[in-house]
Amino acid sequence: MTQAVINLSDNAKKALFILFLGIILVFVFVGYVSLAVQSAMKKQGSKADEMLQNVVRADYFTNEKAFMKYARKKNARVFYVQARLAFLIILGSILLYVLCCLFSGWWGNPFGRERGFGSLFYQFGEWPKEKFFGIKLISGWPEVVAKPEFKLEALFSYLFVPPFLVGCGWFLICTQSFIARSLRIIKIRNSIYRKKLAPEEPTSLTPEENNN
Amino acid sequence: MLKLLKVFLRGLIITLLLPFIVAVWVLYGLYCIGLFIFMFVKTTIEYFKGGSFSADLPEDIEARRMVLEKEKRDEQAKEMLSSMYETSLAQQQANMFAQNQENCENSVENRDFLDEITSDEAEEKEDYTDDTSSY
Repeated sequence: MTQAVINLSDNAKKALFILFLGIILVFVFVGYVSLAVQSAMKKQGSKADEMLQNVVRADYFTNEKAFMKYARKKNARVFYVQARLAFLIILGSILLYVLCCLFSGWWGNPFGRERGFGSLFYQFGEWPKEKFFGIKLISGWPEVVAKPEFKLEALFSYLFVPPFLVGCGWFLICTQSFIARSLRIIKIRNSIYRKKLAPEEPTSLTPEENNN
Repeated sequence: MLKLLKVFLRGLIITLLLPFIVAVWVLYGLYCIGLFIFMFVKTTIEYFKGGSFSADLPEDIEARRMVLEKEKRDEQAKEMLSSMYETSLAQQQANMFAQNQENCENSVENRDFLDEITSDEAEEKEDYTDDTSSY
């Protein structure tokens, strides 16, 4: 029987422990973020209850297909109403950028480092890496290449990027809300039109009464 | 600790599924952009035709009317029930009052009868005492 003996230095042991702890923390963080997203989607999905309550209370649709068609249409309308402002912000910022570019004659990357929004942030070099069991792993912090700097020639980018990012984020939230409502609509459809044979709640009858 | 372990496992599964989740989200995002443009064109055409955009569909307006009617009907039924209950209550009270009056009359008659009996008995007693005192 062969026995593999791995001799680890103290530093390697420490690095291994930190790596293990870091992975666990990342997974726990992702778990909590997913829980937060789930609860947010539940809240967003409750809007579907609100928008369908009249139709359901009035028993307006007798078949599933017509109900789903109506629900999709209504969901699209609610999405349009919600996303209008986000789209307007994105469109406005793009228009502003194009106008600025036309005036200045510079058609570069507005997110870049030279004349873009990136000049307002720290810029780092490459991450130093070392071999660890044959795998190249990050072993330290990267060097700071450039410090944040306000450049007057990048003013157009500063004006364009923040509203553009806000608009994009808003639009993504609207998309998430749209997905949440779609999922909730499917649940509502199932609860109304797809009756289950087994009772969902236990009856109040005792076993003796049931036998009778 | 068990809760933390659950969150950790959830995080692990989400991390493994993250590329698919992001792909679905991006696809939905693209679909939503298309949907938005379609809705924008549709509402613009509607606007130039003289119509106005509203989040409500004709089905919503009809359903709201039906719900209001239903509520009105329910309210009417409730009112009718309560008025029926009130009339039956009044009838019951009148019946009870008549019954009470009858009972009272009966009791007065009984009392008169009893008074008569007791006065006769008293007279008899007095006669008896007079007779015995003479001895």
